[in-house]
Amino acid sequence: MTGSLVSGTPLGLLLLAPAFLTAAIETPLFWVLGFRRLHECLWFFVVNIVSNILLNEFLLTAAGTPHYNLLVAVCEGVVLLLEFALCRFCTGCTARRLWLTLLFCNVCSFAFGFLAGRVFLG
Amino acid sequence: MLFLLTLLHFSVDGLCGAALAAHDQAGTAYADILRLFALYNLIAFGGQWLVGLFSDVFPRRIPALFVLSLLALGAGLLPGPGCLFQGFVLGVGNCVFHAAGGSLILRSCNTYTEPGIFVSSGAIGLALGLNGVVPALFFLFLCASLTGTLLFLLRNHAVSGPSAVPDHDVPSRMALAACVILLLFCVTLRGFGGGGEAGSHILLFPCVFALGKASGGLLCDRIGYRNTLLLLFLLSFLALQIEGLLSPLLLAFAFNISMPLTLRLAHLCAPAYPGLVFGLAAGALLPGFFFGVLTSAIPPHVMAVALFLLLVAANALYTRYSPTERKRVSP
Repeated sequence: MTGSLVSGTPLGLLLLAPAFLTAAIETPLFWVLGFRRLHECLWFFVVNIVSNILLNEFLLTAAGTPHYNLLVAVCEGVVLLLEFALCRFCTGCTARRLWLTLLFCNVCSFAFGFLAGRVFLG
Repeated sequence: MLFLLTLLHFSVDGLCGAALAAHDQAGTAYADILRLFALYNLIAFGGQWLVGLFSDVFPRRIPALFVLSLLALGAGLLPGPGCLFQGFVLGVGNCVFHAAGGSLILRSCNTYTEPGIFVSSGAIGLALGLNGVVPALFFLFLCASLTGTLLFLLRNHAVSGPSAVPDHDVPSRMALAACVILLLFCVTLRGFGGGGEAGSHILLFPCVFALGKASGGLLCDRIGYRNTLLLLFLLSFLALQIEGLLSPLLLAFAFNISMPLTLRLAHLCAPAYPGLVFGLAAGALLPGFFFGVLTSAIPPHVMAVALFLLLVAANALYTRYSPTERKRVSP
């Protein structure tokens, strides 16, 4: 099912670091964009970690497949939908406002990740 | 009646499994066994919508359908007529029973619990039959006695259509049809992840399937549709983070929770056609049987996320466009 990169360490645990990084970028943005209640921010943080772990686990298993970049783009879209559904379930925010905020947060964190990858990994 | 139908479901699937497995022990050629299974599955799952539609149009004929099912299943155990005949009659018997039973359950109950419990027992019966744990004749005896008791109970129980079918406008009808299509797609997706990991655990996985289906309905009635969906997703996520046997078990449990949710929601979208909806849901499992090899091509992550999103979308469509829900939401 889920393999492990290091013997005995579940893959999910190794993916926690990038997930925390993404959540650390997106949650303050979420707060800045008007979602000020503690439970909204906490829920968004958890949703971000869950969706990122799922995304990265899947992308690791799909590494090396043809049209990988297209797959990444589709997956980002699915993650956006997933985050929207989960946040809407538990925060009950207005759909349009939540959707636009999530879109902005995800575009920002994707751009940050892309730039960081260029700068640090070359 | 729910208990009787659940036990009957167990024995019908068990009988079919035992009768089909007998060919393996009798040394029938592999190609013939494959053909037998293909024909059986095609009729048993692909024909339910037709019988379901018949039961919706003629609800008073449902008891007769149970008799027809018993006769066909009995004919399936006759020695001599050949593989194809056996596949055909067993498929017909199974198809007629499921459509009639599903229709009866959906039209006589309003909650998620009953369809969940009704569909749960089939997997255990099938596993017991296929693995030769219980002989086919015992299942036939059980079927006959349970059908007799059911007919006796139905004697004074007038099977009628839905009491009040809401009048839908055109956009509502289209939206509710889209909702049913989403739910059917959800069933198809689940069909691909049915029990690929079963391996040597001949009874463990069927029991988990049964537990998932039964508890899905109970949970939905207790904590609501949304919270059940959330639980389904969280369990799937948890299953993907652990290793060993527990991971596929938890995943199978989570995926099967969705079964009663899809059935009841599809029925709520088309309350006048419980038999048709049940039959279509069964037919949606067919691609999983015939293209099961693709199971490995659909990663569990994709299954978990897709299942959750499809169920969320279906629920959103239903809540927005169903006249009864709109009445409830508006002050």
